Amino acid sequence: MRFLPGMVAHTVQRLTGITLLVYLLVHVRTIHKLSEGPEAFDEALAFFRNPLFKMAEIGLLATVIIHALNGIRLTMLDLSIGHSRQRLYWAWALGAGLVLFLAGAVPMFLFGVWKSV
Amino acid sequence: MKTHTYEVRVSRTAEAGIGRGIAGFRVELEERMTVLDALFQILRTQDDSLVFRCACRVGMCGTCAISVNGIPRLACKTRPSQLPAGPLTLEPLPNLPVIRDLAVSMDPFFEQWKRVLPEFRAADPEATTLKSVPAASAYARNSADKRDCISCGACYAACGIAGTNRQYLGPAALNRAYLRILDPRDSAHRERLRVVDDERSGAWRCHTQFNCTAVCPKGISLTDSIMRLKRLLLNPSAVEKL
Repeated sequence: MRFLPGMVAHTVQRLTGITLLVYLLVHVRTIHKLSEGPEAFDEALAFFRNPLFKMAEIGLLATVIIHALNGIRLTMLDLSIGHSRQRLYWAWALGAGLVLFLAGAVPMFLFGVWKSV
Repeated sequence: MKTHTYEVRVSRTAEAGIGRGIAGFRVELEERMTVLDALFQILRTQDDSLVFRCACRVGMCGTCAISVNGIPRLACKTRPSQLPAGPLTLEPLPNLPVIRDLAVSMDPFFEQWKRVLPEFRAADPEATTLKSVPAASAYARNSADKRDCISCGACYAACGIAGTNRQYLGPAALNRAYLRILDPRDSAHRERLRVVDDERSGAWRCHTQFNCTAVCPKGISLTDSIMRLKRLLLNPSAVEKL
């Protein structure tokens, strides 16, 4: 069976969901370092100042945006709003996602990754 | 009439679904001719052992559903001239056991179909007068674009969930259940709601992939039927008020 747009959206939603879960676990683990004292927390944060993590942060922004926008699309479809336009909604989610991503990613790259290199 | 030569790659089996392989053919088709015409041309002029199914040839019976270039379609309604250029790849419907070549057993599909009590069960079997359904009723409004199912199995073949969960009712059966549940003349909506509410095999297994809707040759929004069923399951008393 060839991948059709609805199936692509479904797969992207699952993959971004798993990525966000992994991020959440790392995030909670890092915050938990606070219980070990300020030095332990600073040490954990220093690990994330690596330019590679800054790049990963930009990837995380893309993940959050597409997961959220497709989530709105799925909620609308769950409520039977615009079923005949589900492909168009996916295209809108991708288009609006790209605009939002660029609006966030460009400053993140310039003031985050670029400065830290 | 202008003709085109198509390279057709057909999935073949030795016997009883064993020994699958691809056989290549070349067919000459006029612009308005269909994939089914291509199959008949191969059968008559190149290989009379090719097995495929068809009956009405006008998109009414659903018998000729096969996978065309990876998408389940009716062979009699699909024109190669309207597909992207390149060889035509014809395979049996996925998610169903292959009998031979392009013919599949529809048993798994109809086993699920039967589970939702697809037949009409009159609310008043003794009634002697016809009960009319007003055009403005919820049944008439919500079922208008969902009644044309020809049980071709394309949706079941395209469904990612049916492919991984043999217990899943599948889009066509769920659409049928939705229609019967909505019908104010029918009396078995409670039994049907119980069947479609099943955690392993019911409507809740649908993951909104839209494959079924995308391939339905009758343009039925099956995913919408399943979403509406889910909402009815959350509020079963709504059925009584329809």
